[in-house]
Amino acid sequence: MKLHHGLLLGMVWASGVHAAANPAPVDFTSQNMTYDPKTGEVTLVGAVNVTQGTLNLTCGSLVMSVDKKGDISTMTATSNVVFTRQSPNGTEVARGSKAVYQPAAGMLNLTGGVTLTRGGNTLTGEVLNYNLEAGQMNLSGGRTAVKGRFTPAATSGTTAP
Amino acid sequence: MRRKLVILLLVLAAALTVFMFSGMQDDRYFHIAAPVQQEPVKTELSPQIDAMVAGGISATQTLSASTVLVEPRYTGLDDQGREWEITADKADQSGTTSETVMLLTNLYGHLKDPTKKADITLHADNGDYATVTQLLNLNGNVMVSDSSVVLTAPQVNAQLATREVSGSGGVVLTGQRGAMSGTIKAAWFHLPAGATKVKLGGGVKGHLEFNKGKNR
Repeated sequence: MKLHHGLLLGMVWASGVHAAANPAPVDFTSQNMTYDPKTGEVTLVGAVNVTQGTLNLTCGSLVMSVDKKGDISTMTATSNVVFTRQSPNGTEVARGSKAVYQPAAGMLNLTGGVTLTRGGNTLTGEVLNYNLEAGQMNLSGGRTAVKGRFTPAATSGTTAP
Repeated sequence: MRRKLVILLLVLAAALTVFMFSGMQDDRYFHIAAPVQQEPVKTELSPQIDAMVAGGISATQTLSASTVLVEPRYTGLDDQGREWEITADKADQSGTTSETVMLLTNLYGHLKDPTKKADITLHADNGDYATVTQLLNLNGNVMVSDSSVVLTAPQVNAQLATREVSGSGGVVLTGQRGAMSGTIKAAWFHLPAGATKVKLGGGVKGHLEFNKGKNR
């Protein structure tokens, strides 16, 4: 269960963009940027930092495609991708070399040395596919095995007989 | 009898004439002034012409004084045959037979494109345009806009032949696309010739908002 919660990071990020009637505003900074008024595509390059609510994304490059309705159709982040979410339960972090998020399909795909951490729990693999609508995720190790390390929460009191 | 009357009238006329012109001086009633040599009218030349004078002008070029035009309108075609139009409150037009420089005040520009729904419009407090280079320099509250975005900057250069546009000094891009609206700030922007993508750089900072209820 804790593992499942630890993997919700991408879903929460996605929910801020997709599920809400009026998603929270997005603030971003980067060194350079290109904007295509015809297609609505925004490309951020160099020290990219995107914040929406309690979520934060840093990466080397981000391509954001926007359809005519104003919906973000695809977000592709590359180079040292780091998702961070501040929650009451602590800081949740997902790392990878590339992330593709498709709000319409509710799919988040994180690849390349994926590391998920929340508190003392850590999962590592190569490919993470997360169906945000169904709440189902699949973490595969590619050529290597998926590795996990779980740290039980400290409890007080006596153990039941 | 009649003869005496005529003689009397002639005597009276002579007496009246002597009375009228008795106090006349030479230059009081009739004066023809001698020609006076005046300083020639001084013409101020624009800085560009001053520079050309300093650098020397070829024999084929003729230096002309600046001409002030009120509410001028300039039109032309770019390399692809698309029309452009520049209007201004005033133009200080100067230059040579081979090049004309126009200093424009409160200018507006329209860069037409049949393939697009709306023209690209320009506005600036001041600007200058050189006919040879076809370079339009805009200064002061510069605004460049089309149907979807508005871009403001203190200084913008527009090459009317190629439609390459660039600006610096703090650029602000605002626009709306469906339910999303945003503001993006950068140090500079550049729209290369023939390109559809606007480049912004020197540190970019953006803010996007989504208002689905308003637009759907």
